[in-house]
Amino acid sequence: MFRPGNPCIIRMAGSKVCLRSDELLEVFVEPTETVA
Amino acid sequence: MTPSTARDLTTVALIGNPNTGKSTLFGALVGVRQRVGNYPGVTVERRSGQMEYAGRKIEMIDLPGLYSLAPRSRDEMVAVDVLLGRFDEESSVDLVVCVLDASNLTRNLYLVSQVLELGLPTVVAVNMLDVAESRGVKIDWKALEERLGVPVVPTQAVRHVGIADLKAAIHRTVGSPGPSPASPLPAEFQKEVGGLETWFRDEGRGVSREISRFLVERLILDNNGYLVRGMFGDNGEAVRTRLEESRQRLEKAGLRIPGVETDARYGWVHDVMAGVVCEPNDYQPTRTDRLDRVLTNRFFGTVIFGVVMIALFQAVFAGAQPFTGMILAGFDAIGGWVEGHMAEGALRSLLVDGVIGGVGGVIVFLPQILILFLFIGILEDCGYMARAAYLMDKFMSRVGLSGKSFIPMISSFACAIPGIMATRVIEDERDRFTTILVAPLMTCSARLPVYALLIKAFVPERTVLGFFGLHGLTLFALYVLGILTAVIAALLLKKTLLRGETPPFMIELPSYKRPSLHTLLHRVWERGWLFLRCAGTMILAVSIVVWASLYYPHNAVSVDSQPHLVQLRADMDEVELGSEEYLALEARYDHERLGEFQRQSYLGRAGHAIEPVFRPLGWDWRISCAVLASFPAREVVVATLGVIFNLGDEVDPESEEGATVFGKELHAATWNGSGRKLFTLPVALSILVFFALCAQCAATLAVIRRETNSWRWPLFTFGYMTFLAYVGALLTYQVGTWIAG
Repeated sequence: MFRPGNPCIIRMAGSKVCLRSDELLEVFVEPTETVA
Repeated sequence: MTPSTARDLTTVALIGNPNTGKSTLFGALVGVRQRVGNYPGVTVERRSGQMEYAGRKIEMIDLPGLYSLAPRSRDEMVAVDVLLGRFDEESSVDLVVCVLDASNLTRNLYLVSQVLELGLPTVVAVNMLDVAESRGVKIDWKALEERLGVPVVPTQAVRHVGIADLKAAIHRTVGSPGPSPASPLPAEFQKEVGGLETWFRDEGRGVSREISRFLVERLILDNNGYLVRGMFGDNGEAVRTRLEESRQRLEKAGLRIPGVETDARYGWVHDVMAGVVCEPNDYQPTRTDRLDRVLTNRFFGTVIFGVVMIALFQAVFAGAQPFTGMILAGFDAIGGWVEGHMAEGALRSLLVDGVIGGVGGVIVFLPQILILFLFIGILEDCGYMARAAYLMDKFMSRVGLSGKSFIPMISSFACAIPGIMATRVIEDERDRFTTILVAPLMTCSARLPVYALLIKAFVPERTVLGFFGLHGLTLFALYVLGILTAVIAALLLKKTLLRGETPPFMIELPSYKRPSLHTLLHRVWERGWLFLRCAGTMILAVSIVVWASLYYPHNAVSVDSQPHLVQLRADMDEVELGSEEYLALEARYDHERLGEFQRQSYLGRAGHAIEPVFRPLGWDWRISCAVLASFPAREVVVATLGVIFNLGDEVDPESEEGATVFGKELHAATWNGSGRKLFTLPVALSILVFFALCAQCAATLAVIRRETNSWRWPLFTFGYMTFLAYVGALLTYQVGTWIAG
């Protein structure tokens, strides 16, 4: 988490994403079972 | 491109996530500099360019930046349609170039997995090598190429690294069979897709053309209904029912929709990357992170944002000053030369007052417009725009919109047309329409000439708080007026006509980078040329029409027989020829005669007819005429005022108040037949407020029509903005006059 709040800024894979809530999150967030 | 020419060319589509340097790569390939944005969704138009390699002519299409081929917005739908050859003009794409960010391969390969399934010949360009290297990312290129089954070319577009290799790879791959990877989606899902394909073929009535397997797959995954609506409109009830049955069967089999795709594709991405890409485990904060600590801070970030905006407006005024003076002097010299070399008459009047005066009056504002575009270009290219959207999201969500609406709105500062087109990235139709309807309220560059003219002429040049000039602050206040009105209008629209929930918001914050000078200059040149072309065509035409309607019928007999002119002529005859008194009377006679010609002209009559409507705003028939004539484009008002108020000898060139000739002319103007000044500060402010809020731009209304596919919305926009403009100008004049006593 780069900056908490609403909207927040999270850091992932070298880039930062600002969001509230969005379906596109499914593309950005790697499912945990895949990582495992 | 037409279908006939398409067959003479090889068509290559460029696709990739936003912020992968795709547009820079496109520019490097075709040799034409393109607009490069640092926030998602800047490329909403179809962009194309041609290149030639080894005798092969190639048409490159720069598709909108997108994260996946799941059509959730117009941009994504356009990309899918182009790739599947569903547009008539782009009858088929021969090859796809997938542009990837080397420092973020995991997410970028997600899109590649979808593109490969289309079966088109594909080349993968892994761009931004420098960023990846600085982060310690190591890639085994040969192994990556083997895993993907298509050519992989490392590139650094900004330095033209790898461009020749990419061109060669495109040349080699065109015409070869496309990849045929096994879909990563589970067998149960594939079975459902097969069943649905059969259903469409056998029973899918109302389907006008064949639906590819890729689209059938997408239809099942599209549980928000965007694709079904786009493909079948309101006639897709049978399709919807059939799709729902498929989804229920898949849910029962433990495959949730649309999550099954995410799981499957990231599984594929991990398999591709295993042992091929090596990324450091420990994250080192970057320069961008350090800057973001300050620039996205709620307090410091907002203060800096405000300072940046004020600096922009100050620069627009102060930076343009010397260039404005030079252009003005140039047009004065040309006008003087023409006047000195031509006999008096209609033609000389047309050239001096209509053409040179009208067009020159608008071109003189070119430096300010170029500086504005330069600033906006820098903010976009360096990556600051996305931070501004983040800072504004909290505020925007309070009026029922998201930070995504802020980007089209801030683009509208330059011009409402690209701003309105940039709304295509907003998924929700109601939010998109709301943004479209309020975007024209943002202060576009066409308003600048009007603002600059009246502010310079009527607002005292004083320094406030020891630093800010009153001219710049007034300009800033007008921008704020536009923004506040847009916010209130959005709030009202979201609570009434376009009622709906606050939309979700997600935007990538790209790394900060030094703006490319070439790209910036090209963009400024492109915009400046558009403005000049407008000045040379529409504004010139309107200037001539305005001049003609103000010059004709030019009935000298009727004018000279007016009692007040007859009386003046008699007074002149009674004093000594050449005396001081005679010269004063002669100047007054010439001025009043010219005024009588204008009053009797066609435009004068029209202005007189509507003067009662605008009189409560403090305007006379001449200002009313100018406002009427500026309906096609608001910047035309400056040219029109230039023609109408070209009062010749009465202009006092030594006056300190008017910094421009126009300003001086306006200062000297009086109400007809009296010594009362026409342009007072309240009148100037009421005109400024009117132009801040009005919808005098036919091109913008036409784009709203195109984007909303209805005449209802442009008519609504024109109606509500004209109402706001009138009421705003009325209040400004009445309150201003009351305060002035």
